[in-house]
Amino acid sequence: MGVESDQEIVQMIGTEEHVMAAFGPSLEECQKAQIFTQMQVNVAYFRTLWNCEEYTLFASSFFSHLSLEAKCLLEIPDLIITFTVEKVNSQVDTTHLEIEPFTLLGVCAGLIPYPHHNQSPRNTYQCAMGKQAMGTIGYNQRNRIDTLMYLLAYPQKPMVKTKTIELIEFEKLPAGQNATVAVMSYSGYDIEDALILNKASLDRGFGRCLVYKNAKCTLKRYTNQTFDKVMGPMLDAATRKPIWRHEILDADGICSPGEKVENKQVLVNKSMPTVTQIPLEGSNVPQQPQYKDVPVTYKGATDSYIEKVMISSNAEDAFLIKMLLRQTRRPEIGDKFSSRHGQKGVCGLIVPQEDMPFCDSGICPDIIMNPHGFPSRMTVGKLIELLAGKAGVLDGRFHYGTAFGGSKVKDVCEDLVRHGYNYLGKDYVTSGITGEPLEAYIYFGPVYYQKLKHMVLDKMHARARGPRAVLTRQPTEGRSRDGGLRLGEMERDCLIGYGASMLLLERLMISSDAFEVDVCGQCGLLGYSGWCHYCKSSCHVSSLRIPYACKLLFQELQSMNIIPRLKLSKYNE
Amino acid sequence: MVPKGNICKELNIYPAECRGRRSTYRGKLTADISWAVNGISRGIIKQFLGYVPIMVKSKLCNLHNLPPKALIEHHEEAEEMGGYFIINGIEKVIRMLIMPRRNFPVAMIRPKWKTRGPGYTQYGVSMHCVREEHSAVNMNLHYLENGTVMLNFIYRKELFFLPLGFVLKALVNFSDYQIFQELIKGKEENSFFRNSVSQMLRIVMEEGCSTQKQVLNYLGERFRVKLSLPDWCPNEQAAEFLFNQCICIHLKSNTEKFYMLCLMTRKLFALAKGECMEDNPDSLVNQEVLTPGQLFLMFLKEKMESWLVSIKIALDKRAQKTNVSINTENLMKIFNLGTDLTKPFEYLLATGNLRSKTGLGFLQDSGLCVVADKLNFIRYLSHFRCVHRGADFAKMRTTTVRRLLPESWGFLCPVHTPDGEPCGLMNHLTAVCEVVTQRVHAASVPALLCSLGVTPVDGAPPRPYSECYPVLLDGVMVGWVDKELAPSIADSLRHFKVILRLCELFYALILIVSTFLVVEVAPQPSRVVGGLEVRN
Repeated sequence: MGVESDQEIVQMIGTEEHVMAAFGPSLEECQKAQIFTQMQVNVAYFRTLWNCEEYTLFASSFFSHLSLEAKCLLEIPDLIITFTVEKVNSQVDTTHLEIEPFTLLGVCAGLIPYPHHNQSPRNTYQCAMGKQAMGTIGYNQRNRIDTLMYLLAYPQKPMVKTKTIELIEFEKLPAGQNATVAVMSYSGYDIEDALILNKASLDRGFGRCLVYKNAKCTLKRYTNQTFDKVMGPMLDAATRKPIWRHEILDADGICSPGEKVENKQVLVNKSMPTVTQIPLEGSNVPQQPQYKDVPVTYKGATDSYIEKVMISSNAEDAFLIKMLLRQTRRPEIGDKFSSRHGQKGVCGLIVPQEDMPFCDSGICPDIIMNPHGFPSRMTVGKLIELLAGKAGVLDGRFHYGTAFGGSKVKDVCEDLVRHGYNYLGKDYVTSGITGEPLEAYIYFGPVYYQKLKHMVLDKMHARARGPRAVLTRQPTEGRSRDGGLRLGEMERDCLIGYGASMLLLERLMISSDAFEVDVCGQCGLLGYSGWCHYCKSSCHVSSLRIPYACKLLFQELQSMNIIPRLKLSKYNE
Repeated sequence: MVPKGNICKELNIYPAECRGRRSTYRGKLTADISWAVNGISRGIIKQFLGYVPIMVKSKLCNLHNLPPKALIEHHEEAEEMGGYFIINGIEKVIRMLIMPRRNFPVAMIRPKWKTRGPGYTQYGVSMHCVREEHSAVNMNLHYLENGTVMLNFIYRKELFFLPLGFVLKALVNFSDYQIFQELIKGKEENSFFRNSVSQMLRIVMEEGCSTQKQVLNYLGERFRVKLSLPDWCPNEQAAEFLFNQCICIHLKSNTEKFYMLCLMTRKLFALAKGECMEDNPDSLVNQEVLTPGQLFLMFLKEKMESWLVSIKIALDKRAQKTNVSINTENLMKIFNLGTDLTKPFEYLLATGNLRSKTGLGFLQDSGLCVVADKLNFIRYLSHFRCVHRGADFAKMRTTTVRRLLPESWGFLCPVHTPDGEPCGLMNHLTAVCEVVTQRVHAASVPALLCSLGVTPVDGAPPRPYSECYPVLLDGVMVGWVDKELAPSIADSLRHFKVILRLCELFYALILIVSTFLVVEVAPQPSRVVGGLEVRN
């Protein structure tokens, strides 16, 4: 307001005693906080607003000529707020102006370019999906030993950015890559949002990610003065070389960094004393404690590399050994990708670059996306992102897709024309398979794509034989326990409806928990070894196969004083 | 690789080490305990109470105020933001929760209240009272069919009801006529209201309590069973204790409490008679945010209190057995028997479950903490921007709590909410929105208000009360103001705040609601604010 000194403020308000008493202290406080001019107040305010010193510059250049007020929610009913300077209306006496319309959005939504062109649920989906994208965690990411860490090998700044992206510095820790996308159909492996990836792009590092996992091991001390030991690798008697399982171990018995670990190889050759309790008095204690092997082994479908090994102690003063294991994964069929518009899709096919279509400037797309994704989703923002991205690439600059603003489509299209491209963003494309031009112009350009953390490698699962649950003897549940695939109630209903009785029997009993029981035909109770304990005879006992869970039920009922009796009859009667 | 022969030169523990060693980043909590025998001070004992987790980059953290270069030396990122705890090597964030707005009477209509007892109606005025040190207690006024008012509060998770007349009489040493006059301010002509008020006061008389002392004695006698006070404590003191702990705890003096309760009663009658609108508890206007620090502080206070209780029990036990001489040595021995604070804190932060005797005025006791997983920067950042409405609302069948209200423009992101079960309950702050954390002392504001034309509470305004608005300042009733004068006062306050940047009014909020002029000066911590330009 051009008010320079405290003196002037005082003069404006008046020097009456009660007024001075009211705001005198606050002026003193300003002085204590080293705030003397209005500019400093602005800067101080912005420090608190953005909590970051870097933004003072940005903020002061933006708003230096305006007074700012903290917007309190409660006051809003009392204020007349407008969004743009043009809309300030003297008739209704506008009191306040929003700093920018995009301040409506949060950090996740602020990531979306041109969100005002998208159907609203797509923006909401993107908010959830952006949080699953692999990217960068922080500049110290290689120093960390997390239980699970996904990193993108070559993250890129988005070609189309927003003001929010700049404010939260997403560009410095990005999570995605600019992929050249051709919106066209290809091969039929792109139905249901599946994407076609270019094999050469994958070779060049598109969508490549690092997966870090850690393995831990503690060496404990026990009450009887024994402790865990780490033994060196076991040598093969004939060759004097470590056995295969111990191949990666160092002389100290811990795997050495840089080595490749395969499934079932040992990471730490730990052994533990057999007796860990204080022996009872009088019992003879062997002089040398006996040890048994309790190695930490690597389990995984694919090989890993040892990134680093950390030896420390934990809070209980036990030794703690932590190993960081690294896998580098290139995208494969079934990996999930998404653009920034809530359009996710899995990779349906990886095509060699020779077979990919290419445009007249020789550019091959990284991703082919089926156009059927657009009409029902109405993600126009993605189309504009492609245009702006393409113009940005040609111009060598970044475009903005800030909410309720950003680069205008018209300007962007003019840029395209200036570089000799179609102003609609379409290209003349030649088929890589036939060598003939495609019949239509193809919408072609860069779109920021995120690789999501869901990967087939972590999900694939199959089982023939495997572990069973102790109580019911049925196959265990879940991938982590190498479980079976459940034939549930509804599937069972289908089979019953169809009448596939033998298949039912096989799925529900033979392949699951078939159990041979001896049943007495006279009393209907279960016996064993061909003998009925109730009738004290073996003459009516017959052997049959029932699910173990069924037998368990009978016994549980019996334990509750309910006797289930089986009535047997001959098969042919 | 650590070179051979290295010795540790640094005794401080830094967060990176705790992450690596799977330990908790924590600090020692010692208390200076001053003790007195029969009022004679006997010195101070330094006592170790346990280890408490320390928030990374907080003032107590070893990383506090370190420049980026030094942060990198300690294996952190140059731009490390902090704001989380490290429990067993895992980064934990205390979730922000939406709480009812503090120290403000909220008129509510809840059909469920009818089931609270015979004669209860759905009308009520509720207040979430929060002290300056963030202890919180909820308090309700219920409207009964016969026109009387019941005060309802929770003490140690137990619900209590008290007829309002008793409370008013116990708070101040006013004559019945004075209380009557105060209650009917602004509604002098309403004969129904006059009748109800006199009825409420008559109930007190029927119990044989005609003076403040008698009422205090009466209440103390009935409540002392629940208060676990020593036997030598007189009934009056027990009642005072109850008022201190449960009723309008944000106010310091009993007179202030009295005026506040009168104001709430008037609002309640206005609500019941359809003269004022019900406030919407789902609107962000009537809400604030619980920040991690507040939860931590509340929990710390409660656990320290239970430590004191455990000392008391230990002392009693010792005294029963032998005749202990009370000296510093013996006391120190007994202090060591107190319950440790380490475990409860680690449990709270590791599981997110709240184990508490008082419930801290929350509606939920689980899901308070989440792991801050770092998949990408956005994911990590959104942990710190997330506000949750509360687990209780997830079970509600209605969609009212999940609705996106226009008031939240610029405060909550309309786009960023998960789909499915927590839809609309879990929201995220907008990129520019912040939560007020500092509190500015507003001592000079009442004087400023008075100079602008507000009549103090005990003074008589120049016009009848029905022509005046009551003025609230930080949850304190400070006076009355002429309805016609109010807008200009609000304008001049805003002028002070924005144009002249009066620090005390920096986050202040000035508004006129149909029934009140509310000036919330300063900060009221936990309120969410955004930026706005002022057009002149």
